[in-house]
This record gives sequence, structure tokens and C-alpha cells, in this order.
Amino acid sequence: MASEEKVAKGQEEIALFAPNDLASTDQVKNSAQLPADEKNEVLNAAGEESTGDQGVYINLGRKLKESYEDLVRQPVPDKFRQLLDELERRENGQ
Amino acid sequence: MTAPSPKLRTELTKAIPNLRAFAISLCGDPTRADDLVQETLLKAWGHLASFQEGTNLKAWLFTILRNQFFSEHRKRRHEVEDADGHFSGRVMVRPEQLGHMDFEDFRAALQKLPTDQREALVLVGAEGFSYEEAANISGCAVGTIKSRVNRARCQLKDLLGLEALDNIALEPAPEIAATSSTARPE
Repeated sequence: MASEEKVAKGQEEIALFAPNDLASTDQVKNSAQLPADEKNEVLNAAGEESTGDQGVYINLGRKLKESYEDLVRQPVPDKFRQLLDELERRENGQ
Repeated sequence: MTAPSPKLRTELTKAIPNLRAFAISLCGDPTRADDLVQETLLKAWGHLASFQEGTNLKAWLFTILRNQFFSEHRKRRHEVEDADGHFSGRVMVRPEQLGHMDFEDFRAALQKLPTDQREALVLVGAEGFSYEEAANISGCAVGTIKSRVNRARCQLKDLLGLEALDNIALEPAPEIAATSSTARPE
């Protein structure tokens, strides 16, 4: 992913965890519990979340992605390819 | 009906794992999810003429899938809400223990969310669509997606009994006190 895209993605990731769009870029107080690469991504949404809650939401987001990726990685049954093959066969009048 | 170009056929195939993941997230049932994906592929094939090559195929497919899901969903009015589930007791889970929670437990909690909240959370937080793309897929306003995502994550936090360290009461819940923290591998 190009670095600009990565930044845009990161911004969207931040947006998921900011309850409102007023955000300042203070560091999270409990940054000790966050991995180094995420410390810089946390925005301190104006007053509505405790810094600890932000940590929870980041962990939740990570878990959501991992769980989803696990689903995406599941082997795809043959029936889907067979369906597309069949549709193509009909298209070609065979 | 027009057959897709080889390139489009390849992209259709590439989207299937994500369609399946999204379908399972929506309905919680792998069998029904696969049926949904098959119906989606059928519909997509039949409407290829209306798809503009170069635009976001995945978003287009996701739209077809979720529309199919929701139209079926409306017909299944007898769907039972599992009110008395796995997480009805509040247990204090430390955020770092979330990492060891298996996916099935996490997905069970996800299934307890209202469907439109779960949909929004998955589109934005798992698939990585922008708010605007998610709004187009779901057929609602960007603000609606944002509020659904916010409510979803808040409720998920509650369902999983997650508390920030600075919110945890000084007296841990008896369930946690009974099992030592070394019971889970760190």
C-alpha cells in the first residue's frame, strides 16, 4: 500500500475510535499498554472518552480485524467456482 | 446477460472470501452465509451490464449481498433475539485478556449487536471501507453510519465486559478473583 494510502487508512482507523470529529492529537496517557506503532495513531477525542477507553477501543478494533481476517482466510469451497463456471458455460451456449 | 471479461471474472473470484466473511458477519450462520454469497454472485452476474468497470467492484458486490440479506431478514420475522446469552453476567475482562479470547467468543458477542450496527462496524472496522463507501453500501447517510459504528463499539465493549484499566473497580468481580490471573497464558 502506498504511504499516502496508508495514512488515509490510518486516518479512517482513528475515525472509528473518535466518537466525534473534534479531535486533538494528544498522546494517550496509558500509552504503555499500546504497541509502539499505534501510540502515534491515537487521537484524544474532546472530552468524551477516557484515555483508557481509547485503549479498549483500539484493542477491540484489532480483535475485530483479526477475527474477520480469520474468516477471509478460510478456504473457499469449490461450489463457488463451479457456479461461475456454470454461468459462463450457459453464457457461451454450451 | 453479458459474460464478464476474464479480468472481471478474476476479480469476482477474488472477492468471494470477503463476501463470505461479510455474509457470516451479517447472519452468523455459515450455511446461510454461503447461500447468500451464491445468490449474490448470481445476481451480480445478471446485472453485470449495470456495473461500471473501473469502479469499486467489491463495494458493488457488498451492496448486492447486504440488500439480499436484509430483504430475507425482513421475511424472517421469527428470528429469535438471544437475550440470555453467554455474556449476560458482567465479568471484568482486562483489555489485554481480549487478545487471548478466541474468535468464536468474540463473534458470538458481535452477533448480539443489532444487525445494522454490526453491519456498519464490519464494513468500516473490518473491511476498511470509508464511512462514505459504507454509507453507499448500506443505503444511508454518512452520519448514520458513524452513529451506528459508535453505538456498536460501545455496546461491544459492554457485551465483552471490557473496562479500561482506569475504570476497573478496586474490588474485582468474584468470578475473576476466584480464578487467578495466571490461569490464562500471557
